[in-house]
Amino acid sequence: MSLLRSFFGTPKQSKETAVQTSLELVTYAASLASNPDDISRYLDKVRDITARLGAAPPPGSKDESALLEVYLQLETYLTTKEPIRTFTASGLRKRLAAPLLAQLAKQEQASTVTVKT
Amino acid sequence: MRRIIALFTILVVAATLIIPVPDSWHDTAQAFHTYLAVAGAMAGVYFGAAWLFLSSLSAYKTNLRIAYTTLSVGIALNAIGAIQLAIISAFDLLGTFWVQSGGIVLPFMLSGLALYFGMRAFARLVGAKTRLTKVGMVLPCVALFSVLSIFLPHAPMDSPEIVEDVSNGILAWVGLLDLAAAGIAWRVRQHIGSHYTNAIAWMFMALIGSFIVVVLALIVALAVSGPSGTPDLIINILSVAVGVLYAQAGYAFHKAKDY
Repeated sequence: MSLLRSFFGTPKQSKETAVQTSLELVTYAASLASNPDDISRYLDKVRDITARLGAAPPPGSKDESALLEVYLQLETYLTTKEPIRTFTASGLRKRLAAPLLAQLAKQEQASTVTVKT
Repeated sequence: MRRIIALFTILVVAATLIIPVPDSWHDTAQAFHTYLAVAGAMAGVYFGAAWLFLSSLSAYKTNLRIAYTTLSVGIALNAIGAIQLAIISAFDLLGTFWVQSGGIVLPFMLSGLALYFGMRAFARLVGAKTRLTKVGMVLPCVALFSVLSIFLPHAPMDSPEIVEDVSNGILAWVGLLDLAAAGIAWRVRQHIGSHYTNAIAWMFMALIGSFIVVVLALIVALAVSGPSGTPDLIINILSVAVGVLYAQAGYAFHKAKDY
């Protein structure tokens, strides 16, 4: 069974569960890229964090912010450079649980302020 | 959507059962309707699969739409080729211009090319690298082995040697292109993002299934002299099973447009 699962991957469910953590968020976004080589450089930070922590970072931590930042980079890639399909930011964020969505909005605001200064 | 395809297939099969047996038919009425029913099932699942691929187009960009459309054309041509064989055989149309001029091979030749080029376009889009996408290497090899297939030993046949040679050559052409497309699908499955793994895995299964059916058809063509009723029926039933795999691949690609 595990051989079949590894060959066929996970089939799409009709109702996907909400994305709860920043790690799940980054994993979800990365899985949507058709060419993993294009996003590999964004995922270096994710690999560092998962190698250190082994699980999702606590909410509000620097690692959490770093993962949300990676998600924003992936979102920009998916909505502008993904070669085979059209994504929208609102469509990507539909599956996010409300608390995670709020954290993402805060991170996005903080990133915009950093860029302006 | 799968229910619509299943219903369509059942309706087509039911329609074949009411077609009157022509005078030219050489076997029992049951054999006639079984033969046409299997051809009808093939039409249902293959055209259904092509429709599933085409129904996914809205979510994708132009280049992938072209790849999907090419794959759909290949799947549909496969069905057209099989259906024409069934009609020609059932209604004794061997003497027609379409058969005598060799037009009968066109759907099969074009189907193999469309499936190969469709998978090749898909692989190049997602950055999956494989030598099987090199047209300059693959097509000459396929052509060479198709020609060499005429030298395969075979049982004595009723039909002229040239007819058997061309038929075997076409089977080799289609089989090798299906195999090349399956090889590309395998490489794409290893490379592509996990969101698409399920869909491309089904596509690989369908292409490998197609190759296996062609190999079996070639073995029957070489080994069986005279009418090959039961082996042909088994091969046609296996073709229907391959059509179901194509339909499952189309359904999985259709689901993949959701995120």
